[in-house]
Amino acid sequence: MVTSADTLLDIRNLHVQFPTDHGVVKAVDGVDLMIARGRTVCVVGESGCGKSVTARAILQVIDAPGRITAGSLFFSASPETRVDLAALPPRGRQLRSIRGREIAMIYQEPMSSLSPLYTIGNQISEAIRWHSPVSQQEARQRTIAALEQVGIPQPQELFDRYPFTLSGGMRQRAMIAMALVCSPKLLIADEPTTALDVTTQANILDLLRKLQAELQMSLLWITHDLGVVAEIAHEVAVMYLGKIVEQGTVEQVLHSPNHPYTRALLRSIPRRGAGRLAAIRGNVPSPQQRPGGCLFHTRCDFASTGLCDRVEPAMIQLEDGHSVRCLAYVPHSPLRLEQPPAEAAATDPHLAFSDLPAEGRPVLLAVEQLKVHFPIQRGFFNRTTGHVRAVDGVSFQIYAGETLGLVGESGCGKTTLGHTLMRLYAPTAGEIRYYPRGKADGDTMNPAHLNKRQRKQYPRELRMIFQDPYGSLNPRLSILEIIGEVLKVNNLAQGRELERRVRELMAKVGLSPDYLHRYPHAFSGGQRQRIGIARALAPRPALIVADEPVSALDVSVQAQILNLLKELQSEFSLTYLFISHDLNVVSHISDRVMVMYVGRIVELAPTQTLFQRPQHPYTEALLSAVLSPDPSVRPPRIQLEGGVADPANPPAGCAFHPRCRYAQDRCRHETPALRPVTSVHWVACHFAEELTLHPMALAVSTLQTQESDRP
Amino acid sequence: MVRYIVKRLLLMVPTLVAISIVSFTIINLPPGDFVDRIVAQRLTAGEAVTAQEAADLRAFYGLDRSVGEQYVVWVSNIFVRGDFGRSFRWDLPVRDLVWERMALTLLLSVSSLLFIWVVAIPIGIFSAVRRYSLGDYIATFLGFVGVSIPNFLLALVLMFISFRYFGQSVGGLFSPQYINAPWSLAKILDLLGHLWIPMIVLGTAGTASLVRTLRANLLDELSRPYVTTARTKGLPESWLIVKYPLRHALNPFVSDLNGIFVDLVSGSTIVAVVLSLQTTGPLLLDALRSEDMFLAGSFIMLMSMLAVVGTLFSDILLAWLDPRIRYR
Amino acid sequence: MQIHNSSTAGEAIDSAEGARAGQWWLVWRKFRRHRLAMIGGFFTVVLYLVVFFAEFLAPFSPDRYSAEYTYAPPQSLHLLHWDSSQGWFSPYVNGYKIEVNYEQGRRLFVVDPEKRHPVGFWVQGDSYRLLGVWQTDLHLIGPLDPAAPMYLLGADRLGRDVLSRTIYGTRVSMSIGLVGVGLSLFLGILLGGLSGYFAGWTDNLIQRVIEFLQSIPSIPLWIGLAVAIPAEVPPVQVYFLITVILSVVGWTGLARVVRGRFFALRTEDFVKAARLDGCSTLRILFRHMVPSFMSHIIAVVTLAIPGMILAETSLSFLGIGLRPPTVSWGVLLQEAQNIRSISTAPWLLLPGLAVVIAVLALNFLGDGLRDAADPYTV
Ligand SMILES: Nc1ncnc2c1ncn2[C@@H]1O[C@H](COP(=O)(O)OP(=O)(O)O)[C@@H](O)[C@H]1O
Ligand code: SF4
Ligand code: SF4
Ligand SMILES: [Mg+2]
Repeated sequence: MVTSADTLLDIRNLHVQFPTDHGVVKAVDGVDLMIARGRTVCVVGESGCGKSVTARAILQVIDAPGRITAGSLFFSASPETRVDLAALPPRGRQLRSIRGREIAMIYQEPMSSLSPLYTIGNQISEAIRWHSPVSQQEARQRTIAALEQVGIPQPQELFDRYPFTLSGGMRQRAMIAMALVCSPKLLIADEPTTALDVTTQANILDLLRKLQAELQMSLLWITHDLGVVAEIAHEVAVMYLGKIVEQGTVEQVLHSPNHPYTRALLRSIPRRGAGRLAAIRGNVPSPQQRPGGCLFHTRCDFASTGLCDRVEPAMIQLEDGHSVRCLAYVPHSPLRLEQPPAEAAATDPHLAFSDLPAEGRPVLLAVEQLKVHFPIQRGFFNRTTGHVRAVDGVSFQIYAGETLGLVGESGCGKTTLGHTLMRLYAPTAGEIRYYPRGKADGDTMNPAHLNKRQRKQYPRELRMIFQDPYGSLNPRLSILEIIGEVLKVNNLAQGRELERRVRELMAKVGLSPDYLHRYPHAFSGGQRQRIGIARALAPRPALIVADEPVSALDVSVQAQILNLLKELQSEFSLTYLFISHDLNVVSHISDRVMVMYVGRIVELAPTQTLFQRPQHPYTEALLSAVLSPDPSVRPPRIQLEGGVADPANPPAGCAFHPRCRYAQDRCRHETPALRPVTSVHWVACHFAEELTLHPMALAVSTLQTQESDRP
Repeated sequence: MVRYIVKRLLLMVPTLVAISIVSFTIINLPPGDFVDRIVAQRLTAGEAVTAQEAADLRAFYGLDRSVGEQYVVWVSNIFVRGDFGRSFRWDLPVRDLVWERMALTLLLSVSSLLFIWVVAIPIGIFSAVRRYSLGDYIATFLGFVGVSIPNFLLALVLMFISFRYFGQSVGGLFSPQYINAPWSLAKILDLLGHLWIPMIVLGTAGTASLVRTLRANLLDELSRPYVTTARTKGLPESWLIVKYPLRHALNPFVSDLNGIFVDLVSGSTIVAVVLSLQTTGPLLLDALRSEDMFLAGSFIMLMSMLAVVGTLFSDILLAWLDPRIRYR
Repeated sequence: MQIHNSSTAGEAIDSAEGARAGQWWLVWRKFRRHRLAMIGGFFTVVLYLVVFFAEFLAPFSPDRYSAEYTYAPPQSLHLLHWDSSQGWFSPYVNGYKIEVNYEQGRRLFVVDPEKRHPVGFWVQGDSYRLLGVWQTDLHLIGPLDPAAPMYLLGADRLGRDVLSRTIYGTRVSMSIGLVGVGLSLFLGILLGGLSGYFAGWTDNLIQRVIEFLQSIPSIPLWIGLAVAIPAEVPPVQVYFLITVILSVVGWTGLARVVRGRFFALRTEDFVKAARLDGCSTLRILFRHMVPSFMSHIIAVVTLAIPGMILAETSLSFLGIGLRPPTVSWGVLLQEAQNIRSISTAPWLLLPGLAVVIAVLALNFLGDGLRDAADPYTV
């Protein structure tokens, strides 16, 4: 138990409200949280639950018109002193001297959090100079030391660079250096790794864990990702709609979750081998419509009417520091948190992950030596000064009825490949061949040379789901018009018939057909994604290219959409090309997985094989960066230094060699070809057979969430 | 940076060529030419002009050649000898007429520009930082009114007020005794004493629109994450606003500097006519009306060039202020 | 990757009505909250009504002159005069008497409180065709005795009624703004659209032309072009030529907006989705893209009208734009060109007030429209 001398920050009954046109938003509604010296506390929850606002309230930098309306924030820089930060004037000298010096903060967006108009050095040393009377020279020295500390290779040189000339990971490192330069006692990190690639995220997590131990500082870490929590937290607070619903040590919360929300969050994480995911129904209610009683009752599987919708649960202490806000834990409660029958579906053999050798199935789409290069144009006359080789010689086949996953860091050409299949880009070289009824049947379509009939048929058979549920729906058209457009322009249905078919599609994707005449703005992100799926489904396609379809969604909604995609696949015998940067998602949904790096495929194998016996060093590194929500699983991590190579100027030989820990001389000259190592496993590495690579560490599939069975 | 400037300078060349062509085209648009006008004048005065005389006159002024030829002669003379041709009407070399007026136009435009900045920036900052305060409402309202008054009307009203209530006539850039006097310290002081009225007249609309733009830009910038970053570093609010959001908000503004400057050069034409300033405006109007082609053409060309140079200047200033442009 | 807040305030429209609301309803809802813009909109509507009903609203025809009343000062209208003999309100205006100013050696009109000329509403006066169709001689207001002087805003050099002339001027000045902007819009959408659609060389060329036109000072350019209009050209053609001249520069701003929107939209996912749906280029344009920037275009157009009005006024004021007998605000202000006439008859500046009101109203309206143009971002 934390004693008061150890307490660095003691948040008591914090309330933050935003008066808006639609009523008062209670973003934070009575939060109690204690942060001990040298410990890491994670606040976790879906977006809109008030995590960021809590973090910002500590330094009183909440966006207008937000205001702390009640509560205190006791901060003890040393065991003898104690100030209530909430009582200090936001612009006063005292709070200013704490900001940056005692408590520092880093944010999600490393790009927009740094001003592009000043050098990195300027922005970091400024913090030093406002807090202590040091010379410019000394500030420079300390800044460079801080940059070195966060693992920046040439800190001297970086000092004079501008933020926009750096990669995302570098920028986030610079942000961390800026936060640490005055050796704060508390570092508040608001989703600092969310915008980064998995590999970079892993590096930053390692770095911060190391620094925290070295500097003996406390961390308040805000995240929506339970994997990150398991990785870094000592203590965890789960937040829902402005309140903490469960709190305890990381082992307590992740190994024996008590609150139905925590349990549901854990269960909805996609993982290998799981069939249907246990998604949480509905979505986080809008802040103007906070439910009465237990805030979670609208989505809780155990909610009991008459109780949960009336009585507001208080925080209940269970054991050493573990507490939960649920009526089931009130002594003599009639509520029982038993496994709902829905859980049984998890092992539905029909939906379960299959590792069939895909060879048996007919080929639906074949890609050969596909290249897509974009000219780089400069200057007054648009001279072409080079080419971005977004896709640079890719060959693969998609079998009917399978889900082929496509992974890789951002910028490695996944989206370009998907768009090219959809004919949104023209290939620079190579061929795409589509076999409407499988290869054996002989009818072939080449999207580069379609005849008149095929020009209509091809886009009906290949459809696409977009990543951004906001940008991909025209806000000015109703749902009927959006979903029906493809039917209408292709003369597949008109009038009444059109409406009937759209209603049917809406029902299929789990939307009420009553919403036919609504506009997209009336829907949440998850619902919009369902609309996007219905649109893709409308002309009865054979192949759907799904480009990061769940990346913009919260975990609970993500699980709903993944389940939906699986159901639709078996109902309509769909084939998916599923693009994602999230290996958990890919491992969950794919039959085979294809790994891409700088415009080329480096490995292609059945999912099970790829995750258990990877044979390309890049795959190995990607797998090692995947975070497991089990705090007891801490695999050795392979640090991938630097960023993805510039596709306009890829390194000679194997494009991966500058980051490869097995690279040898040969790799620098000779480009490895993609070749089969077994009949179903293809690798592009000279040493594929010689290397023994690490498989993915045990993921959730084996994590027995020992939900404490007390109530 | 040097490369950038050289590039910008090279880009100016086609623009300048285009300007000279457009200027020359404009002055050749009206039907007839200067000689027709002389002939008409003499006829009204009762003098007969023979065709031979008219042809001689044309030959004398070089109007008998083809338009293309005239253009080439005109432009090459400018580039080779700085000779802008001869004003038919004043019977003087154009260059003797234009330079002083151009200089005064430049002086007026630049001082109005400074006036705009000095007045608009503090008001804009105030309006944004104290959003929805009484001061902000007043500034916003006056801003709208400011852009809605045509500047010649403002000039007329000011003239009327000072005539009616102070019994003096405003107008001109010099007191009568200095108009034709050679330049001296006293003349410069006199000029400065007269300059402020046209400066205000010319600057009002610009000031008003600048306050509005600055306010809007600053409001955008104030909610950017880097401002919060600066705040969490512990910087004092006033320092922070100047260093981050203000500096950012000024960029779009610097890039629009040329727009404002062009408007000033342009607007000064009319104001000058109303206030009878000794700048380019009145003489240009007169030259255009009397088809004094070289004078008019030179004015249009020089004013356009002034604007182009202003654009160049603002681009360079922007590149200097914004590293993103330098690094592009 | 970005995490969207699935429950932002803007989305909390849960009423069935809000959820079924199309773009224009949302624009209107946002616009309505902008009070100054509503006021601006009201005045704009009034001004355009004046355009249509000028003959009816003006007490006299604009050309009616009277040598007797040159430079007569404004009279005030006594509306609430209770005529006890008739038991009814009988509004009137005062007449004039002549005073001789011996110092200046000039005759001056002054309002004579002794004389009363009764005034009525819905009175008969000069005849005209309403909306160019119905022959009538009804006027909103006028003296009961057609020969009696009524100069609510004073008289000019020829004894013409400034009020009537200003009302007629509204017609030309407001419509020239609209026509000029219409022409600019046509050019702007055509060239901006070409630029945005073809990109590459076409775009480059059009952009250079725009940059060039924007870098030349507009007024000297206009003057240069306006002077070229020969004196003998009939008024209607002058009117048309002037709008053309104003549009020479006016289209550039609109073209930039159109092109910018076009480029931004082209890469939107929903436009890609429309392509994948198999829509033809025309359908993508008109069904999916144009509605997305229609509201922006309307706002930009509204904000461009004042510029046109100001430009016409300035040119006419200099005597090189519209010419008498055409009546526009700028032409009227020409009467107030020198300090002599302003000091004797300051009311000649009143058409200037009309200019300010019109421009102000349009600016407020446009500003509100611009804010409301995209109802989907908060
Ligand atoms: N500037 C603001 N105006 C109105 N409401 C806001 C504002 N900022 C945040 N909120 C509301 O506060 C709640 C909590 O937001 P936030 O702390 O960002 O959630 P999280 O970080 O958990 O995703 C949300 O419902 C959000 O809509
Ligand atoms: S109180 Fe009821 S609704 Fe709330 S979490 Fe517990 S069981 Fe679910
Ligand atoms: S070819 Fe060489 S550099 Fe490339 S992945 Fe294999 S070992 Fe590494
Ligand atoms: Mg957040």
